[in-house]
Amino acid sequence: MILGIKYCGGCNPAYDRVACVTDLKRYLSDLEILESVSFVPYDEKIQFDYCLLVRGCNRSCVSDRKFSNCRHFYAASGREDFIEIKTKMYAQMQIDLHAE
Amino acid sequence: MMTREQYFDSLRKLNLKVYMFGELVENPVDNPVIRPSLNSIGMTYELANQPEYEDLMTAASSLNGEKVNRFTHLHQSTDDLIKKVKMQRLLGQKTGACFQRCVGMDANNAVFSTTYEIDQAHGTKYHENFKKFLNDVQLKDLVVDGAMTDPKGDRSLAPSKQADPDMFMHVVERRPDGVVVRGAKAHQTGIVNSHEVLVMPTIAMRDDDKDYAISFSVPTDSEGIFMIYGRQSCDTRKMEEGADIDLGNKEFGGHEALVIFDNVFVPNERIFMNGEVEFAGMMVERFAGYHRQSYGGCKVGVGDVLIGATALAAEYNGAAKASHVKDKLIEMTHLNETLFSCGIACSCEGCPTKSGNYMIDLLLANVCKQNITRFPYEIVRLAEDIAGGLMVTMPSEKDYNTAELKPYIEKYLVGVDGVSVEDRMRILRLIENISLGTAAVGYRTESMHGAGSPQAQRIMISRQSNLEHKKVLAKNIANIKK
Repeated sequence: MILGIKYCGGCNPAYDRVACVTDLKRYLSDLEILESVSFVPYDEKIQFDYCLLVRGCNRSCVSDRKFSNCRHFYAASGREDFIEIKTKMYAQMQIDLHAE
Repeated sequence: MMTREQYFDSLRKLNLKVYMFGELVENPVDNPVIRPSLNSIGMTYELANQPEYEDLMTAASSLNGEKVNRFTHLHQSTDDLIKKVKMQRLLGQKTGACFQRCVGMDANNAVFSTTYEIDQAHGTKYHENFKKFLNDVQLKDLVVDGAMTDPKGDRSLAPSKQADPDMFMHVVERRPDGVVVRGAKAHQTGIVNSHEVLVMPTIAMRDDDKDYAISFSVPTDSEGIFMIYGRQSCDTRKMEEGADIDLGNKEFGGHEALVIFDNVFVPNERIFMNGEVEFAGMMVERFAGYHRQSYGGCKVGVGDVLIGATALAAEYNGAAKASHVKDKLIEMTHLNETLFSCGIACSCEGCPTKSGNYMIDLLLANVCKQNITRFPYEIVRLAEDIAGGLMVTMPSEKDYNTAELKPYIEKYLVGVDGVSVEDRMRILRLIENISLGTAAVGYRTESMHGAGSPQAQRIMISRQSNLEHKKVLAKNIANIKK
């Protein structure tokens, strides 16, 4: 399973975007699912199982309309968004793993 | 794109002629006075290679389709113009200093569109020349110094009327394969860290000034070019041992230099204007417009650092909860974000030039820069107000680290519980650095005079203000028929 990460440019982020992604990886690792997922930089030419758009704030400098090449798409604009993303992403990954 | 280390190595290969304190600098890359400014440009390479910043730091080239550093990019949309400002704010935040690479980006965009229009009018080949040059810059990820400001001598006289003709860069010899130029460019930001210098005229010109209407690029280590490094307040602290705290910002800085062109040969393929006097003003106006937009990004990023440092200084001495301190921090933020608003606004209102790259809204860019000539000074005033006198009266790091003095400094300079005296000294020295130390060159005086002094913006604001339309509006509402 491939997860593409796209960060906004980070000109004035309201939270530590990289720390939140690291925390997400740690969460998936604790649940022993991380080894099944490759985290790679987002590329619009690649087909992804999951995409994570990490914005630093509520502005939409990177539009979520770009991500048509992603089977499952998640977007965060703040630290609190990662709470929901973690559970939703984990649940989806479990479904996908069992389907395999 | 180059990595930061590859960039440093590329500069080592140049044979630059740089003078400082009366001596030729043997190795500019590792010189302790110059190095912080190099690190600042290095950050433009480092961030471009990090996924969490690449959306701002890179773009798809309109010339070759490759992913290039945005500092070498031609703006293709208002979105590109907005991203430029945001990138500059980011770099200001990361360095707390001038990162020097903007001037080349602004020159590239101005020369690109102006050469197109010169060729349309005169059937010349400057635009093709420039595209070849810029394509090379993009693919090699080079740093370009955009060089505009001539010494100007007697400001009341045109270039061709000066007692000394070298007061403005001019052609002294014409050959079949190129021209020889002589003159100087003052206040050259980042020149010692640049691979190429892109020269433009400094003012609008008339027919008598044909030899002065010259634009070209040459490598910075070309025969005949030498640089005299500009002094900065507190610069020699960088040469002292054990002065990390005293520096305030040990890692990053900016620089300017006086650059002499002593009979420098320019081959034909590197000439972008040569006597087309009626286009000198266009090139100046476009470059100045872009650069006035730039300050709505870079100064805001440095302002972010200064506001953060000021808030910490207040926390460290227990004043953070005082209502006037909170209010002053709000005022600093308000001023800083107003500057950012101007940078964003002139970008949103941008439009395509005939050549296809995008130009900012000139009126709003000049309003942006006019505010820049004022607000950083007020932000600094408020920072000094909150920081207190200690930012300029505290002992040196050497004193702090002297065994018999340290206990007294620890005892008498302590603030709130839980914050070390060293940390308090560090934050106050950072405020000093930006307010009146080496970084003040970029944050204060450059805010006043860089990209044109305040009166230059007022002239542009006057030209762009559409006053007649405003009069008609007033007459209509007041029911005045004539």
